[in-house]
Amino acid sequence: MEAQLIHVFRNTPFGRETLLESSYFCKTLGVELVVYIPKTSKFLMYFENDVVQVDLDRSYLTSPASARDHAASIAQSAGLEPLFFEPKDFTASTLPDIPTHFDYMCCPRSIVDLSSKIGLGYIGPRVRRIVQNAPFPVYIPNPVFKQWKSLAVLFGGSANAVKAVRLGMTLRELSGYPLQIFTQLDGDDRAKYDKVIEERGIEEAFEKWTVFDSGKLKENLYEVPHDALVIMGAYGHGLIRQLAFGSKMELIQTVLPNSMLIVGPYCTV
Amino acid sequence: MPLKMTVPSLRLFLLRIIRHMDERLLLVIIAALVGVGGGLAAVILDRLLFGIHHALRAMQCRWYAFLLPACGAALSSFFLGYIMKEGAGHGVPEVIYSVCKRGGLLRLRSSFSRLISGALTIATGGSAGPEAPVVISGASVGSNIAKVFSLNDRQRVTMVGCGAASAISAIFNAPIAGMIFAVEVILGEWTPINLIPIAIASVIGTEVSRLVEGNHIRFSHHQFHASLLDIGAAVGIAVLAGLSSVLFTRLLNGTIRKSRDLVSPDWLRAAMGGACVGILGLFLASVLGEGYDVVSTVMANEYQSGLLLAALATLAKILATSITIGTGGSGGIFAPCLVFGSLGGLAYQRGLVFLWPSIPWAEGGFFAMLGMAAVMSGTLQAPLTGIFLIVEVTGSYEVVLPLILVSAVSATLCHYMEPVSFYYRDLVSQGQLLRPRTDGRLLADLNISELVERDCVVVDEDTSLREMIPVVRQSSRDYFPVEDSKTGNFLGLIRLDDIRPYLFNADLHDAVIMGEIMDVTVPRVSPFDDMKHVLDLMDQTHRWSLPVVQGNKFLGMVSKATILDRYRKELIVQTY
Amino acid sequence: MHYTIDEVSRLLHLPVSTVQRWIRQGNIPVYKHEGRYVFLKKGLRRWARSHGIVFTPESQEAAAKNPAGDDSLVSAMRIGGVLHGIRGNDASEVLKSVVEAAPIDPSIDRDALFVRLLEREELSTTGIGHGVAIPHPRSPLQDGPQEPSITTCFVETSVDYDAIDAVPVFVLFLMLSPSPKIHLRLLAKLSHLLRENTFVDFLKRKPLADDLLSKVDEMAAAMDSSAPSSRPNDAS
Repeated sequence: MEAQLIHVFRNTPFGRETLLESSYFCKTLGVELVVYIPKTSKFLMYFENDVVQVDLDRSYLTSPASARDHAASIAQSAGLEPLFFEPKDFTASTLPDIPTHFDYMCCPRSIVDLSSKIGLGYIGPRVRRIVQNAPFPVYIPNPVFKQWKSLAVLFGGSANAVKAVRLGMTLRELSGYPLQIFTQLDGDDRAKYDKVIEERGIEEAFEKWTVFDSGKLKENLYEVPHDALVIMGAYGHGLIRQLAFGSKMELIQTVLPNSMLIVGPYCTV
Repeated sequence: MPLKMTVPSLRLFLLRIIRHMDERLLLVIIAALVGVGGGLAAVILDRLLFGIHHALRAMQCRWYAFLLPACGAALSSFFLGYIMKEGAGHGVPEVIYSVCKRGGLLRLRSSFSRLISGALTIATGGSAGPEAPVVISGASVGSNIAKVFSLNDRQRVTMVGCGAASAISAIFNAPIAGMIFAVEVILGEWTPINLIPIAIASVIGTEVSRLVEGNHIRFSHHQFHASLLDIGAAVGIAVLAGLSSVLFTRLLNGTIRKSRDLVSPDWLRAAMGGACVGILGLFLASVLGEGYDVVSTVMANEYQSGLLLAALATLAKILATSITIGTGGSGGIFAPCLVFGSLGGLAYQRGLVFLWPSIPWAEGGFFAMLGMAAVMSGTLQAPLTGIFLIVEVTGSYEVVLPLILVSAVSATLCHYMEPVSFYYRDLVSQGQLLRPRTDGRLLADLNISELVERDCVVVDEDTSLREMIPVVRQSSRDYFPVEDSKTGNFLGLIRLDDIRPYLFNADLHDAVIMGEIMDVTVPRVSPFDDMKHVLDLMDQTHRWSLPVVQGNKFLGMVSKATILDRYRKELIVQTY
Repeated sequence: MHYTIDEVSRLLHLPVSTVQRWIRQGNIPVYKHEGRYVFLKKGLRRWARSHGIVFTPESQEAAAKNPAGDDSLVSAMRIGGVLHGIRGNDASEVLKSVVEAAPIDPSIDRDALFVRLLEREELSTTGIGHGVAIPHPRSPLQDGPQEPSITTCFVETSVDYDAIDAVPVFVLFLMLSPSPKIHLRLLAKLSHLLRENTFVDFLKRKPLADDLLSKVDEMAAAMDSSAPSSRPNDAS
């Protein structure tokens, strides 16, 4: 079955950039683009063990009359014929349910934000909850449209990181773009990582593996190409980790402007 | 055992214990927790109502008292809509929707948001009851505790039922009614697995409320003595109550629909509704608030009014409740039903006395009680809940016989006139009332992507009949999809039945190509289509198999035979 | 001890996604072991029994799907052997001699076999033309052979077999198979060979076992390599 990406469309210039990003993603990887033009400011997503309510910013409901045409023409400019999603189930009359059977979901850095917060470093709490629960990777695009030409996986050795590597391998096949892996050791033994790689049988992804055994992650991230799609696993465990803002994902979000694909604990890759 | 455990490792430790525990024991323990939660929710709302009411007492006698419900309703609507962003509905239908379709998942915010909004609406005089807010709070508590323990859908739904049961048990001090409400209205089924947890949750919820509020019967009274004549007359109450329940339901639905069209910002609509109720309340104080004091007065035979006033009060309460809830106030319909049921019963008794003054009719309180039972059973179309609730809140088991009679008659009468109760109306109209083991539920659980059969051999448009022969020989199916060789798009379907007569006709072997004889009118099905829609399509077009196509690409066939096989397996697996 | 999700879905003849959905909905008893879902064998069987769900444990299923037996023509003929100088004046006598001389498994009752062969002849002749006959029992034998065998029997003098083309029969292929499916497959291959005139002529020379088998091997290989192919539906 062909993979599908769901994109919640904002009919504003900022939203145009995001849709261009999603369209490029879909075109490059042969994924079908499904666009949801919201008619209400909220919607629910029912996952396996949680229900997440997404409260959209008012700007998502701008000019509904022109929304569909705008979205269609943006997608067509990338060579795609989008599918438009109309919600069929409603929890309450103003609360549609968005299904979760998709293969990717595009979430801007903060769905709830004012445009000023689209800046780096801020991942809205809703997006975090979606990542924590979703059975699909979450695509967080660059705020301004830019074509990525390579894949960069940030590998930390955890189970989710392994999934991220596998996803990277799949995307390499689909897009034909080169794959590079980055690891920050932070005092750890490299042998530990080698062991994990061997156990999971993902050696062939590690042809181009850059290991940072010194320096701060913040500075080392400069090595990640500016035109790469960054793939990483999200933290998936520990109540405390989730609360602490020092978690790695937040840091990387602050430093890198690249589009990102985040693999959460419930993803099946 | 280590003395200090960090939060994550404590959670892992708990999870390990849970994994090895017997499922039933686990559910009992979690149900106890949920019972405490539901009980607390009821207690909190009760205290809030008391507190706000007390604080506003001074203002009740002023001229601007009629604005109080308006402010309360507006604040409640604003709070729910803008601060909590709840997207409010009545509450109970959401719980039922979640139970039917979403495995009992409810948002965490619902566990406290309705308590606040309900308190705001009711304590300021809005004509609604505290039950719906407390039911959705309890249900949400149950759902979220289930989430912490990573329970599966079936277990989570049981916990939602426990939450609802404990909430109702606590707010009415009526454990049996709580259990029966959870099963009759929320869950829709008794199963061995949920009997004990719900019972435990009800008991604990009641205990929590008794600890805080004390154990007393809400509407106590001295014993009623009813003669056979009274019981006979009770049938009349059932009919009248049934009719008034229908009136109430229709008025309520109508107000909800119409008011939305009339006034736009939610808070303004609520404010205007509140103002109307406030004005009504200036003339008839009994329409304000949840009205338990009115019921107590009636039951104790202290309500001073004749037939006309009682009847007027009944109708006024019906109107006020429809306005409050219909314009967006936050509250339930139990308490108002009790109020206008008792008033209506009183009016009936006054009527009987008026018509046949020589007969020693039972007191007003007796008929009021029957009126309450009849209205509850009729409006909710849940006779058991009605019977047990009235028995428990009045403590009068001695009159259970006429209670049973009127409840049954009223519920049945209402069902004939309004086939769907207020709680289920929206769900049924969208086809979302999916009780386990019903056709609708089974079809909703099955999905096409699980039933697609992918063993068809695909042919090109330009395949000749001759080239079909080895294809037919090797395939195990009767259908051959035709694809465009350049784009891979699905073009049409070849049925073996259609080509069989010609396969052995050598003259045609090179003269016929699949592209010209394929069926292009065959309806296509997408992997995300409704199963019901697919079956209807099969019935309409008299086909037993349909192609599943996504984005112009052929995925496989879906056949009625496979649907039957899976339908039966699904039914078996949902049965205990 | 444990079944995995894949194994359970195979046993129940259901896609993995259905089993996953049942796990989520709580319809099937399951445990988490090292982060993966597993099913205890005993628990699952109990659940299946109480719900009246049929599932065949692996061994039975494998046996049903792949009935024992290779359907290679050469190996069947090798097992059956090649006999020369069979005597008889008519079909029945020839068959009797064949049954007596053929290297049949001792567990098979020869008299019963003979009766079955005659039954089959009565239904319709197995003389398929050009002097070739393919006698076989009317229905698969009880306690039939584990592996298929084809016994090639050259008759001393051609007999009148009431064949389709009325040509007297000079060679019989006694076919014994464990199932009708295998019988049909072998028959299809054999008749394909027999369509070649060169092969029939070769047979008329009454070749010895080794020559015959190598010739059959050669022709069967040529047959396999020229088989037509078509595209199965590979959208997944």
